[in-house]
Amino acid sequence: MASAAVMDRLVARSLAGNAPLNVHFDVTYRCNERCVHCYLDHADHGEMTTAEIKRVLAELADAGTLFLTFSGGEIFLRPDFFELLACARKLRFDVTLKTNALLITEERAAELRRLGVRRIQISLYSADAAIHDAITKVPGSFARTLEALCFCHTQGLLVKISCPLMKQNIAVWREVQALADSLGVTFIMDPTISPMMDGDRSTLRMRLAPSELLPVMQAPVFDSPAPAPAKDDAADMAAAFDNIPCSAGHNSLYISPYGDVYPCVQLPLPTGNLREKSFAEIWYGSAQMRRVRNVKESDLAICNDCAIRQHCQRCPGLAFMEDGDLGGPSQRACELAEAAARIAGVRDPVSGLRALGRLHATSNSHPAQLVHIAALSTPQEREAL
Amino acid sequence: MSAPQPVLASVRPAQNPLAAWREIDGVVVVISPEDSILHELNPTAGFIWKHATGERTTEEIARLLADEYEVDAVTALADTRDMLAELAAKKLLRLETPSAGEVSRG
Ligand code: SF4
Ligand code: SF4
Repeated sequence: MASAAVMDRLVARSLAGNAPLNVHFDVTYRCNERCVHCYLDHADHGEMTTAEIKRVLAELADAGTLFLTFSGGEIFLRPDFFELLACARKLRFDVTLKTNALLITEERAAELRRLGVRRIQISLYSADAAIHDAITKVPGSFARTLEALCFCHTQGLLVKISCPLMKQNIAVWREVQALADSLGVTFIMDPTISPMMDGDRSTLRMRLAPSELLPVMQAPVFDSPAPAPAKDDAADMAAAFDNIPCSAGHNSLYISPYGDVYPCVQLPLPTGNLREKSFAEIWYGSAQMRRVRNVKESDLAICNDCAIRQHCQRCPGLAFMEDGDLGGPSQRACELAEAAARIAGVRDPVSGLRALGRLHATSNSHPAQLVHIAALSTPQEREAL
Repeated sequence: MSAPQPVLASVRPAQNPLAAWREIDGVVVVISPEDSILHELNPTAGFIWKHATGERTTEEIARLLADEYEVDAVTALADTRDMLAELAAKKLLRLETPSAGEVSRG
């Protein structure tokens, strides 16, 4: 049985029954790098304890989570991280790690493999040590990350290089891709630059304007056609996503180090805290989670009249962050949809907001939807389990 | 196609601890650690998988299968053996070798 078709059916089933198939779990916001674009508050404001996280993992397993991503901050800064991993693997999650890899030694890479971690995503900003280290603000970090990446690859982990795109490295992403190719690992670009958690918007200065992203969007890495699902599976998937904007709150969610549950890492609508309620109470019972689930594509007032909707990857999280309306359009989505339409040959594309005279030339919103362009960019990505 | 290795009734099959799996909406899916393939098990295979904990023998699992699906014992044992052999060939399961005493009873 082709894995992609099975995956399509699994996603369709999980969406239909609101099974929490995918969980992104940040276990800490602390970090050993100080990346110039990072939006996190790195202080520890009371992370969940080992016991608390283990309880949450057991609840997630019971509820049907299969794909579990541990992320941060830097996950390996938690002294109990291998204990949490062992617990997660014992509960038979399919585990992916997101890390800067600075703390991964050869022995630790072997331990990850022994525990059955399948995939690891490692941030690398440039193939040039000086550029990478200037972004992380940790001298020597490029060499250490690259060495650790090789340890993981040698162990047989599926390694993916993630290259966050910003002004500092937009000119060199092809070299990172070439490095990934030469190492035999996969590659993904991520243009998401967010305001800081405390509202400080200084990080947005590093964010790329749509005009700067255009050449990247035209690169072949964004163009590879998706493998066609079998006809019936395509129908299953289309039916499953029919009338819902995305997976957030439907079969996917985000958990913060403090136990807060959100529909998505990019949709900051708090739905409950795992120190106060069980996972099931929050996932099935919270009014906010229901609010997210009630957003229907057919109800999107402005977007439904938009002439370039087929070029848009509207993100409800982005729309929510801009003006609190989960069903609204967003400046950034409109700007990027116009750029995508231009690439597709549309002359003078007019987004919904432009038609209303409300599109401002801004790049101060959140480019979350390009993550999805990137996420669909390589065959490996699309087939990723 | 060559016939799979026969599975002794006394063997205690155990899920590969490196495999990830879940039952979602009544369907068991398993990711094989070797090649990252996502497998969807049919109801019989899913039933057998869930009972392959390393504690029950093939014969005991077959008995549970017979009760669950109301099939006769011989058919259930044959189906269980076939399915276990198939799952083991995909390295999703380990077929724990029984001790000498158990083999003679099996
Ligand atoms: S579209 Fe936005 S809210 Fe939905 S899953 Fe993607 S990032 Fe999250
Ligand atoms: S381009 Fe703007 S108005 Fe059009 S569908 Fe996208 S978000 Fe909505």
